[in-house]
Parts: sequence; C-alpha cells; structure tokens
Amino acid sequence: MKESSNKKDIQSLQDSILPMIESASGGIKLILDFGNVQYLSSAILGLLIRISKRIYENDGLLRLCNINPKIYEIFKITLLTKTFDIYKDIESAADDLS
Amino acid sequence: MTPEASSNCSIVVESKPSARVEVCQQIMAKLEANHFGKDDFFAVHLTLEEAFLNAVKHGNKMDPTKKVKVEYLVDSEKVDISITDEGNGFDPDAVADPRFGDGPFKPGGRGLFLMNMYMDIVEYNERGNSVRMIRYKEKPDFTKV
Repeated sequence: MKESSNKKDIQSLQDSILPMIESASGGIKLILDFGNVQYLSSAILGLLIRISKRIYENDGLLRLCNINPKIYEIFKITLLTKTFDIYKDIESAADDLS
Repeated sequence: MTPEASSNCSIVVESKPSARVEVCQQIMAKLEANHFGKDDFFAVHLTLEEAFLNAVKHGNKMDPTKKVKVEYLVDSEKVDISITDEGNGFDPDAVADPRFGDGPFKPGGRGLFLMNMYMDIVEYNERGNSVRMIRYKEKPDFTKV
C-alpha cells in the first residue's frame, strides 16, 4: 500500500483490491502492509472499511500491519483499532492467518 | 534563523480536490519557516486536507464553477486557517460522533472528528460554510479563564 490520499489514488487502490476480493473463491486472506504509509485521511479509512466489509461478506480475512505510530494514532482515536485486526509486522499477521 | 514574520494570506482556488496541493504546499512552507515540529506538520496536513475536501465535496457539491477561499496566518506561536466554500452550510453539532453506534463500521463521517482531535480550536461561522482551525505550537492552558 503506497503513500497516497488523493481521489485518483484512492480509486486506483480500490480498483486494484476489490476485483481481487470478488474473484477469490472461498474467501481471500489479505494482509495490508502499511510500511510505506506516512499519511492517512478519512477517505482512506472509508476505503479500508469498504474493503473490510467486502472481504468478510465473502468469508475472507483482513489483517493490517506495520503501521507507524502517527498513523496508528488515527486508528486509535477513531476506535478503528476495534474494527480492524492490526498486527505489529507482516510475520505476525501471516502467522495469524496460517 | 529567526521565525518568519506573521502576515495574513488569502487565496481563492478552484473547487476541485487537486487544488488542495498548492494550498497545502504554501501553508506547510510557512510552518517550516516558523520551525513547527513533525507532529504539527502531520496534524495540519491531515486537517487541512480534510477541511478542504469537505468544502469541495459537501460544501460546493463538486461544482467546478465554484471557489474555495483559504485564509491563513502562521507565526512562531500558531497556525490559524479558515476555509470557506460557497455552499449553504451545515450544522456541525448535527454530525454524529463516528466512534459510537454503527459509526466504526461506516465508511464516512470521520473528517470533522479528526479536525477536532488534531487542532486546538475548531469553530464555524453561523451559516456553517466556513471553518476556522487553530493549532498552537505550545499548547495554551484552556482551563484558565
């Protein structure tokens, strides 16, 4: 997931992930690595929630990981830490899915 | 290097999401000149984008013929930004807190909340089409009257 926040980037992120979710048989297991994300907006949070809903509706699983402290603070104050399963790093997120 | 002298700036830009880039660059340059910290950059960047996109999307209803006015003052103590659209305005008190009810599962409704959390003062004009946001470099004691 690259650092992005504008409408075009959000659209391209949505376009790249949603078809993957729809086409997966038996539910997709997706880990989103926030390692390169330095900035977040409410629009990105909205997209993550839409992605999460779609994944769980299709019996899949979503994990977020590698979120830097400033970005994690946004998840925390919006209480989205309760909505998303967040892991310290990609290894721990992958272990949980295996 | 001494902080840059304060001065009021006012710009009027096209009501389109991409117009926020120039506005952001101008204000961030002022923050840098006045030696604001990383947390201030993060907070102002986040809230400025939220407020600007609200003006374009909800205020001006994505009408490209409309404008967004941004006024700002950055000095060694604070950043003070006002964003005004040409819409009919709204009642900020009527916007639900996204942390409660089914808010955490709704895609929208977090912009105003983030503005309130990351800025020290957020206030609206009576019509509700203009928001003023202030963040202080050193936090004032709001408990003292």
